[in-house]
Amino acid sequence: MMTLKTKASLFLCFALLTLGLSQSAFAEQDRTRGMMEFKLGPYLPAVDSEFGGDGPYAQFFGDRSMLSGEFQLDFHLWQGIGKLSLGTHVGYGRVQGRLRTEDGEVLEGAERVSFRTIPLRTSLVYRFDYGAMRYGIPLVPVVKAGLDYHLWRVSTPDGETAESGDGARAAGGRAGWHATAGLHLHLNVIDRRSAAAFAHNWGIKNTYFFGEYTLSRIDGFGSAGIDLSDNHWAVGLAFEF
Amino acid sequence: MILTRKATRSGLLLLAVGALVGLAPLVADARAPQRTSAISEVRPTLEPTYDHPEAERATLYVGKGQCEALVRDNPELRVVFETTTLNLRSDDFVGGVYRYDQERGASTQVNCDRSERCIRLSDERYEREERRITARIPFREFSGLNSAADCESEVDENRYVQVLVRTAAGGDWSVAEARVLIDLVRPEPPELLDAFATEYSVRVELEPSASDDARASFLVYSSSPIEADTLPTASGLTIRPLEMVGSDRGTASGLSLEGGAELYIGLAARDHAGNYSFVSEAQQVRVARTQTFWDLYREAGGAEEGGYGCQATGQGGAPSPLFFVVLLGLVAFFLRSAVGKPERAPAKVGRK
Repeated sequence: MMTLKTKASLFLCFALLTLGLSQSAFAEQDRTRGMMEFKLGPYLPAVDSEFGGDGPYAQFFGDRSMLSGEFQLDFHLWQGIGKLSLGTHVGYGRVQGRLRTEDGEVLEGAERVSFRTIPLRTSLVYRFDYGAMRYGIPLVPVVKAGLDYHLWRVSTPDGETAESGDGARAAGGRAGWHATAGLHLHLNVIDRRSAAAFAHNWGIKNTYFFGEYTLSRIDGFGSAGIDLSDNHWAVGLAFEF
Repeated sequence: MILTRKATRSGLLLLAVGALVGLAPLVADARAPQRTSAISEVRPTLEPTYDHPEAERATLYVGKGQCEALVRDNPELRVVFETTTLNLRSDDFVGGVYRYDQERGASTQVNCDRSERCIRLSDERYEREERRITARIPFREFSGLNSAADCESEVDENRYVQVLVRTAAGGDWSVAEARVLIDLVRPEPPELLDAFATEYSVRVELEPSASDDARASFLVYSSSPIEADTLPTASGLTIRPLEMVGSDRGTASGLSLEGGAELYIGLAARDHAGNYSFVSEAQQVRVARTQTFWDLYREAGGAEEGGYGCQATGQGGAPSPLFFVVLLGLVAFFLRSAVGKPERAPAKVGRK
């Protein structure tokens, strides 16, 4: 008997396949095809939530968060009052802490342990750019939601994957979901001549500077294991082509 | 004639400047080969190569590591002097090719036009072309080393091959040299003051080597005691370069040591000719066990065991089939989007 999660997963898979094969039906009237986003922001995974607060992440890395960079590529599914897109994201974040002895003494010097994540996401994105395109209102609200799969790894100073005494290797992946709300500033209105040149030379029709806030729950949909969830902000540039 | 003060000062100044200019071609680093602008390149080589330290500034290094093979094989030392301006076939511009030796540390400049310590090479020892002179001297003849026993001597000297050239007939000779630095003396090792080892590195505090030609310091370690007068290249020893911070602290990293193991740690130096010192007096050190973030996580009772999957993670588990189905769906979508919409056939335009 299929669980609710399995049914939802199968539906999503079917929807993606259908959209993938019939994307041209939606694109016939488009003047733009998609969007690229580059963004940066802090990311502090909720590893210690498994331990009720003060846990191994805080003990080893302190209050340091990762600086996470992300690239997003969207293709427009529908354009009317705003645009609906399907996006895929890939990112990278890393935090380092100094090695310590069994007694807990932090070792000064160059030996560091790294904790890395590579977030992979897919999103449905809605951009309300009707005001910007029709009336020159430079602010564009954006909302996104979708599924995540984050790869993670802890490496020792010699670059190898850390292993605990019982042989568990510190590398894996965790699934989850995210929801994002952001505000994009349409930069074409600031310098129309440069925007026209950009469009002519590079095919970039619209450029935005944006900020966004993401709620992410990367905990295997509530299963046991490392929790990479975080609520975090990011800023970046977006280019519509 | 009475000289005025102003004239005297000007004259002395001009004399000093003239002396400096005149001596400029001969003045150089006291230990480095002399150079002249008339010779654009000087290249000493031994063929075949004998694993020398890299040659630099017209200098070739010969240490204990190469000595026995060089004495046994007696290869040719070849020195090439090249120019872009002179005709080196003409005796108007070439005054001869010489060799001489000098103890290391001597600062005296030698000009073989005037010095009696130089030995002029016979004609069969060098070839003259329009833009190149090539000197060829058998190693034993050049170095004065003739047997393996000579390689155990305390020779530490510079030997030079010098060519005299001038840019105009009747003008002063200037010199260009190649140097072979023969150093058969091992440097003194640094003194190990303190050492701390983890599974990944060893940090040391040391007293630098007393030898002024020591160029690099090395960590040497073993699981067995290290006897006195042992070379760091001996069997059973591991040698790693030290990254120095200042002159008295260094770290050897990129190691794979066992936490809790007992190690014997010493230091060694290496000089510019590639000679290693003997290993310093060793210390016995226990490798400290260390903890990573992952160790802390697992010890705190964390449920994660690693592995890939959409739900509960398993140790070493593979991604679930659902992950691949979703991934394939996305790939199909983005490929379709990237290829773009199909081209329409152009409409036919008929004639009226």
